Amino acid sequence: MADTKDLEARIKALERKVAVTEDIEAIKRLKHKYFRCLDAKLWDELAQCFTEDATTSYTDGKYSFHGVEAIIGFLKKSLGATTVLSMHQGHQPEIDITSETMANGIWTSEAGLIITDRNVSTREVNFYHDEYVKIGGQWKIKHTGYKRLFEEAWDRGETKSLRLMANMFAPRKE
Amino acid sequence: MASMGELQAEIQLLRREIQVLKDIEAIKQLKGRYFRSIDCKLWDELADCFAEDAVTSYLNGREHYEGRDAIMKYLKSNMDMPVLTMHQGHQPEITITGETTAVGTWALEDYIITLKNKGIQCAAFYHDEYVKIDGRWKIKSTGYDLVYREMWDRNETKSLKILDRMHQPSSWEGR
Repeated sequence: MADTKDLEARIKALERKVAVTEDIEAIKRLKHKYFRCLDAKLWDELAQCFTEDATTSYTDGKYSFHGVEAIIGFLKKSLGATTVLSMHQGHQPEIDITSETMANGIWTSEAGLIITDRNVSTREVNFYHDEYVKIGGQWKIKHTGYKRLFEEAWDRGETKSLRLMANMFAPRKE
Repeated sequence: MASMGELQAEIQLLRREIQVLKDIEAIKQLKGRYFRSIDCKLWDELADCFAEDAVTSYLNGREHYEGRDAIMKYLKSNMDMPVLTMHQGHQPEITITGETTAVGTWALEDYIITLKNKGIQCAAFYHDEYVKIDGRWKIKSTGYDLVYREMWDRNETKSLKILDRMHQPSSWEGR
């Protein structure tokens, strides 16, 4: 019977290891969804990524908000206009599962914007520092923010030949 | 203490959970091979990524093809020439929907240097379906919606030079 007890302990340890691997994948996926929703301007789906009481410290704390409504309001104001085309990428995740319902993560992000009405492009590289929490079996962003490595901007008009050939948010021609 | 039957049930559950994780990893590798094969112009390896009856809806559905042969003909007609392409798939969201079925979204960034030295850059979202056939995941349907695509003449940047390239125009001469 000692054998059964030993087996049970080994299975329990294995279950925990598998759960941690599943959690890491789920958190990566959560962050991937976050970036996709920013660029596709899917604000309701984006709101689902956050806890009700989530906080942010974007741009070295310059944009600190409390609560999912305030956060979505800020993101909508920054990226919601159809004249802003964004491409956000999250790279090199370092995810630490700290308990069954808590985790931290660091991401390198590169983002580019095309602001069509001003004909300006920007490019930025940031390091995200996030906290995640598992609520009702679903991982959510509890806190997010980034430190900026650099941001640059240029006048797209300087490149005379540059043309926008496709735009997801261009007004539809009837 | 747990009974032998309970332990066996737990092992079964663990097996399924590990299988799902392995399937997600295999699908990520499949998509990695797809992008690498496009950029390296490895057409046989690329064809192997698709199910025989695969369908595409590239370019917001404008490039719709049915069957692996039709898809490969389309891809080769665009890229089997010394055009330089870089395709990157980022931020996979993979859902395993059954033992042999899955769906996934990816963010695409691509950069193309055309034969006339035009630069093209795109951002898009892929929406894929995958199927496992004889133990190997294949692309069953794939397509993307563009966020934007821009194009410019690289000759405008006078100092810009290509210092090295995988696909030499000379290797295409006489083909």
